[in-house]
Amino acid sequence: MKRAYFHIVYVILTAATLLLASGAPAPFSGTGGGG
Amino acid sequence: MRLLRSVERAAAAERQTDPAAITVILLVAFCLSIAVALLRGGSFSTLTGLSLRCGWVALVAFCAQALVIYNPLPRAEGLTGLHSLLLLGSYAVLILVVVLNRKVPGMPLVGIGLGMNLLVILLNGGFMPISWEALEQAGLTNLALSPEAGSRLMATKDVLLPRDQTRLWILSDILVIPAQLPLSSVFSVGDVMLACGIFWLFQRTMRAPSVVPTAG
Repeated sequence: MKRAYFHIVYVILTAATLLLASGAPAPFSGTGGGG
Repeated sequence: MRLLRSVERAAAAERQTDPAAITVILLVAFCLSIAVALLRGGSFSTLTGLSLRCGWVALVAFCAQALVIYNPLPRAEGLTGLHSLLLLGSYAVLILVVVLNRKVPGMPLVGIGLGMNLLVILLNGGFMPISWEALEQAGLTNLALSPEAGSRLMATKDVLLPRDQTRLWILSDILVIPAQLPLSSVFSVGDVMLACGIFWLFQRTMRAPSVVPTAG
């Protein structure tokens, strides 16, 4: 059970990391004019 | 000259780290992908059947990028600059991760998006080009370390370049969510492909009834 939980977290983290690391947008800026 | 450089660096250091500036647009796309999969009856438990190789390597690449993104030099130093090399090296590692997981649903689209971004970064001196006009439309001019061409932007992989100096402009950061809308941002066609790839990954793997394709 615990192993399955960690595997799900691993998959989600890997997918998120791939997306964020591969992308190159100019980000929303809380101190700037972003909405 | 050295004094001028240190003054420039000090000025940049004062402005560089903006903890509120994060790639919200990609995070929103990521969360939407999971939310839609759940609304369609998907379950996290099916992710246990998905084998992703070398995910930790992607995390290492991400950490290397964080150094470049949150400690930008005032100006891009060209392809042989340390920051450019770090960024390009991290992309090389990410390509490896994508190739190793090429049979995972959505990964070909991720690879295409990654390739598009890498190509335009390579052709423009090691950073993603963005124009001042696009920044203005998104209300993000505060991110630029200076308004001159070649200047870096805080918390991004971007470099300020006018359209006529940008190679393969169509693949650079040209898609604008204007300042009047929530989550204003500027992103590239490659970013859209990446988001589509991750969206497809979760739609396929969180809904697969029993057998989920594995890497290799």
